[in-house]
Amino acid sequence: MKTLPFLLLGVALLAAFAASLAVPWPPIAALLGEDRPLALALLWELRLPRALLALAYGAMLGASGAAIQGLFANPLASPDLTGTTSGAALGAVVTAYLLGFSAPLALASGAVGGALGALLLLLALAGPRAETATLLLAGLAISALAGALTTLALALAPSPFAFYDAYEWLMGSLVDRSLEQAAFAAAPALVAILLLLRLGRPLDSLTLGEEVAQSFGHDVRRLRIEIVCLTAFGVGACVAICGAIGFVGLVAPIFARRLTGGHPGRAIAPAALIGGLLLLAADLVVRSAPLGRTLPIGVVTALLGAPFFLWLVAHMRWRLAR
Amino acid sequence: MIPLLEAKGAALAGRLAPTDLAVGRPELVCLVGPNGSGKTSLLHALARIGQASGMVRIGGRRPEDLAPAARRSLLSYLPASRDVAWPLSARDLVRLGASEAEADEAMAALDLLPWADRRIDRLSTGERSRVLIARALAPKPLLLLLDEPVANLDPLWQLRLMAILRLAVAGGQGAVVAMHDLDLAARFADRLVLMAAGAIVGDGEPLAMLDSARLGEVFGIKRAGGAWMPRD
Repeated sequence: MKTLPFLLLGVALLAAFAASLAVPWPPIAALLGEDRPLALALLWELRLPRALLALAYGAMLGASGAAIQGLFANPLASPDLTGTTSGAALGAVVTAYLLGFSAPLALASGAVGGALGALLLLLALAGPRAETATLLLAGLAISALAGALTTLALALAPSPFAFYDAYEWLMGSLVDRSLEQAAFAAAPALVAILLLLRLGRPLDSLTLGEEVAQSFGHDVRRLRIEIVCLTAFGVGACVAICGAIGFVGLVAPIFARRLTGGHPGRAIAPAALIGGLLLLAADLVVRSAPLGRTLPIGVVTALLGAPFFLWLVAHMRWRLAR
Repeated sequence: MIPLLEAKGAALAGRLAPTDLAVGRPELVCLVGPNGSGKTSLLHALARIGQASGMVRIGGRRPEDLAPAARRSLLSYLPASRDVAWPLSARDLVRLGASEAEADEAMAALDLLPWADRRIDRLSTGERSRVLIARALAPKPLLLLLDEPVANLDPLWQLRLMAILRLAVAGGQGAVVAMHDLDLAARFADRLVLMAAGAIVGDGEPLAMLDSARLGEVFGIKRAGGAWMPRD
């Protein structure tokens, strides 16, 4: 792979991260003059966690999207379309009702469990190298089931407050998370991404089919289990803190493969960079929108991502018709 | 001397009965047999694909003991399917299991250099076959396991490919090749291995095998006027 696009991506990511801390600048600048500790606290406790979460969650979605697409040999596989994020959301909501939203470890475990359940169900329903239609239908069924169960959980909310908390969290938001909460999402995400990067070579060899990958000496069953577990672990932890955010995991790998000449495994690293960049950019859009109130970021990524998805489906009709 | 290939009781549950096969020196062994007779399964068992049991040694070493980087100098496997999951360029595809120099050499041998940078999904089926064959040949492994390599190739390229395989054998490699064209197999192979119902039922010198009653029985065909005809 060429280094220049990689370098540019890295620079863009740093710029977006800096912008995420700095925008909007005037109130910070004014505060820095008047009350320096308060301004720094604002940067440290409000804006840094938000930027960190956008970066980690976006990178996690990008990396796991690339890995899942490579595993299923299908560019329409992604954590959201396969029901992983809805499974994680269900796991987290159920856990939250039992233990409250203020227990991040339990919440994260619940979300990871939910994500794992959804992915295993998908593998069982669609099979490892599913046709696009089977994969999407199975993903749709799992998303619908998890969504219905989440709605049921909301309807059975123990109190209006619990309902409101869960509802707001479900829409996907990076706002008002503490630095500890950010670390709760970012640390598992970082570990999962680093471990996913190791799997690039076997994933690339899957381009030639499962049999050839096995003849190379790659253990495809283990690869499948590793990717499912790492995705569930990283995405689950992020969903537990920020709610479900869609489409980044679908879009980022598709752009990333343009940089790697189509190699699915090598695309994991650029997909992580692009995913982080996309979510940081979406968060900047949320902040700059002149609406007087904060939009949930999950809504923004869905609004931007859904048309792209439609384009992709139209573009891939030949493959769907196969 | 260490035999090139030594398989003892190599089997795949439900598909291939425990099978012994030995290739002592570099030679071209063609696997023939009707559809579903176990040719692909035997190749899988030799390449240790799926839940293959039994013992396989190539050049005295067990493939499952070797990491991917070392295994590629031992064996390479070409599946019958010509599907490729992602639209890589022809060169990148050949490079998946070989160095740049090896890839270029294999692509030159199969006259693929003009298409090297073209995307695999924009090539014809025959050209794609040649790219995948180049991928299997490129690392120059001790043993080539090829499943119907001549399928989809035009008559000239079928002959050229067989000549390339002879050249590989002359260079010290062994090849076990499943194919359906009996005459082509008999013309180029050192040995013909006949399979039926998941087991080896005949093994010998090609022309003798071709004339054997066994072969006609297994395939349900006979030679009449220089052509193969149904037996009844």
